[in-house]
Amino acid sequence: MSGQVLMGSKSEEKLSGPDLLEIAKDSVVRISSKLGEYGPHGTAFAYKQVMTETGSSVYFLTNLHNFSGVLQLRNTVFYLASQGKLDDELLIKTTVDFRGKTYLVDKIVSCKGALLDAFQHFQDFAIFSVNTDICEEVKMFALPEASEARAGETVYAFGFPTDTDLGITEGIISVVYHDHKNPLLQHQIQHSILINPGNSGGPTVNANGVAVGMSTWGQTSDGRRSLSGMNYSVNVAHTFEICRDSDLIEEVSMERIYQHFVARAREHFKFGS
Amino acid sequence: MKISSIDDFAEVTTTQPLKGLLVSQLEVWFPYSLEAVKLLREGLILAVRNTSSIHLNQISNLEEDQHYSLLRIDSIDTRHFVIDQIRQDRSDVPVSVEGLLEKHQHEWRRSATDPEENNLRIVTSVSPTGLEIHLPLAVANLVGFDHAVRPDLGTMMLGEVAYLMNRDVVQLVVNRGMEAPSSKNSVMVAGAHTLYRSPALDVLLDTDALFRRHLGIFGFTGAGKSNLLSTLISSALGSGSDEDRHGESNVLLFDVNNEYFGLLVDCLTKYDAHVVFIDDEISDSMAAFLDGDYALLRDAANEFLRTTTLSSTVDKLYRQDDGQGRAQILEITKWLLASGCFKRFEQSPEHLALSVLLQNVAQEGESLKKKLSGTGMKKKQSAFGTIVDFICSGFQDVNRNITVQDFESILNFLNLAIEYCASDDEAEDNQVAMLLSENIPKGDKDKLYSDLLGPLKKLHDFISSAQRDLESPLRVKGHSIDLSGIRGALHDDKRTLMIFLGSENSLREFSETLGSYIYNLRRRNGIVDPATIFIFDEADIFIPGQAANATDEEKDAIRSSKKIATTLARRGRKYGLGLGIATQRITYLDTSILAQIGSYFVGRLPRMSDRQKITEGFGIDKDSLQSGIRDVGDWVVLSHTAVGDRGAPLPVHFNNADERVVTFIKEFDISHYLHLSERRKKHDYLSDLVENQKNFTNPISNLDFLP
Repeated sequence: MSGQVLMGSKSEEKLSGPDLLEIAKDSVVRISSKLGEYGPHGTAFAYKQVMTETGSSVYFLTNLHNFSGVLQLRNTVFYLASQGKLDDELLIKTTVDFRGKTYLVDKIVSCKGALLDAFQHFQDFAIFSVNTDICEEVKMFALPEASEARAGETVYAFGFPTDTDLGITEGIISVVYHDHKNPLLQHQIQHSILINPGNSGGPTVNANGVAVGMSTWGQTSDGRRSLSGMNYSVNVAHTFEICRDSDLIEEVSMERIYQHFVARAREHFKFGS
Repeated sequence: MKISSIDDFAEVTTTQPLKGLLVSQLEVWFPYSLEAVKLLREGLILAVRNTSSIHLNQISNLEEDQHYSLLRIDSIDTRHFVIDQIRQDRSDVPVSVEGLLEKHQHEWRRSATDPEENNLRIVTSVSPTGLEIHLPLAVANLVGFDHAVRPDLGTMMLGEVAYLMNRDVVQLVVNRGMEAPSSKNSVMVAGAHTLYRSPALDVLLDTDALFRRHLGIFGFTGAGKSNLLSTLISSALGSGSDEDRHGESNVLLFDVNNEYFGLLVDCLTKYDAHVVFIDDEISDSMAAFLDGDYALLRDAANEFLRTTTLSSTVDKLYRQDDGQGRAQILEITKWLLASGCFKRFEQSPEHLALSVLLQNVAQEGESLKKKLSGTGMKKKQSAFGTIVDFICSGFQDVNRNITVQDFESILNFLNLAIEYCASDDEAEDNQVAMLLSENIPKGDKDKLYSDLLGPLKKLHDFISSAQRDLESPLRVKGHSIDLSGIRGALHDDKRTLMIFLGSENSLREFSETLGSYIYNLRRRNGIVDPATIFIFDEADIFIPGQAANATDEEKDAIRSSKKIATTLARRGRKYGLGLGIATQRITYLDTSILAQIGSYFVGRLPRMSDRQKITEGFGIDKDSLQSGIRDVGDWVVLSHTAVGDRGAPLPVHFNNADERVVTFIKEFDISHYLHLSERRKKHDYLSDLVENQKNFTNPISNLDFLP
């Protein structure tokens, strides 16, 4: 059993919404990066399970910005510090709620330098694993093959918008971008699914149970007019294409970043910037 | 809009434009009617056709261009010419005068627009604005030609009709040549023209010119000087956008009465703000907090709020029964304290001389040496002593400022020694080994050297802490600031607001210290940006005309503040340094400074002598200086530089700073504010993380995550 690798498989027949939701309930999780009660949350989804002697390691894909969001909170840190909060109350943590348990996320795999620098949408991904005691198979969506996302196809998004429970929304793929002169659109899947803050990092799944994309962003205005129904998912096939080139990716210790961050904020509180 | 005649710009009564007659170059008469009385106001504009409109070589029957000179109404008087005559001649009995008046009043009430009584006139005395309104009627059908206000080249002819101009023309005159406020310029909306408050006719002010060419605020007690100053500072700091203007304005405020915290608290949270205590007149808890005792945050905030003067409206909020206002103000003050906004002024720290450090090291070394005991005490002590001596005698010139390299070389040497003592290896051919082997033979290394480790590490810590202390941000930043810190804040790309608090004398002396430092710095380096204004509230304290009753100490201090104020007033402009003064008695000021001031804000001034000081400089009628002031918040602005209508008395109603501050306090939401300030500070902490990136990241070690 140990060492066995399990992954979601593509369904030959079209699955209904409730069927897909059954899979999502098993493998789509809420991910939160919090400083006390402050900080954002998003969605992550499992795509691979490796059985171990004591259970299994489960690999997740999510948006990188589910981690970087909390790094905007330095002033909150030093406000809390000014209130005399202790070190252990000033911890920043990223956690996932998976099958009734909360797991801490430390190391992530992401595009080189992306977390601390401006990144393009197609680089907005992070991969991490958690070690669990789960011995049975986790139901997962299948990963796509290259160019599996097709315009016109019906797709569903799963996630935790705002403070809601896991939900499903539907739409169709409008455009599949590969290279594009606008860097924002490179390797994006434009679709009409309603997604909201909190959906970030959730899977965009077609009726065959393949997670072709990862809900990432939406356009609500072009600066002059308000827009609707223009939402985008990162093309998951392309994400794993990037991951196969180890020169493009790196391992990041979130724990160390968070510690450094709190230390700096404390220093700022003490001495001013 | 197609222009057909001057009627398009004239105020109209129910039937037709209100028309008067130019009786002399300085006088226009209007028929006496209810409507005329209601429409005519001091400060409004009349238009009278001038000679530029007469075209001697007219060759067509087309409409010709029209030019109307613009006149400002200075005063309005009503005269009954028969009564005047009677009174002058003293030729009739009082009953005749009273009879005439009764008759006229009766008739006037009966007919609002067309009175039958024809001996009664509204007499307006007017002064030229130097402008005309040009109506290009000959080419009115062509695109690109429109009416315009421009310099007046014609002459008015007596007997011409005078039209009362409407709001549009007043606006053109008041804001002539001013760009609309935008992110790219320093223009702000100062307030509303007092005659057109609703809907407001915005009066525009160029803050850059206002700051660089000096400003003065003169009004009697209760006129709202501080309130106006707060409004001006708040709008000036807020004008334009940071991206386009790179912190164009900085404000330095010498606050004798400790009253501007309450008036500018919203600005303190928005900009690079500093409340600087320049002497020891601060509460114990504040002093302790600034020294680093953060447990006293709340006490320091409470104590400060007790001593600062809150304006009546804010104070009312503070004392509200439900305690909410108080809680909010306390929360804001705590936040400002916690974010390092309050600080003490400190003279620049002396540079530490190397000799001083070495003396300290020798002392510390001696005491550490004495603590060595046990087997081979003498050997160990002399070995440790050798190391200390080596450090202390290792420099050629010790009477110089200490450098980073000095610290590094000492610490490197100590690291070598620690490493050597901790290692099991026998003596290597290094510096430390050779030094130590003189006292402790190599054979004894294992036994004795490990005892040296403790003292060596302690000495290392002692020196690193001296280094940290020297480089500590506390010395220049955070809860204290020195001149170089102020210089830095004034010349970065952030808008800076500094409020200096202290006793009269400390503030006087400090103004000179700071002023001449910044002035000389800019002069030597040819710096002109950003515009920075030194504002002296209660200016008669800083630049009095005479200080007969002052003690010697005060006289010295006054000399200092006068000196810097004079320098700034005369020569500051060249280097972007402005002077702002606010006082209630102009007569008590040193008048040589008044002549340099580009913009005056004049409130109620009951004393003729005070008014005269101002009108002399501008050559304007002394009545028109006060006629525009009707309500609290009304000021007459006189400026040669910062407004469109230059040199003319411009009545402006300014927004109430109290309302702004109270709204801010009520709406203050710490979480929202955190969000805003995060954005502002985003850059520096992210760049810090980027710099330390190597500590957080590793190359990919295993590829298990791949599908």
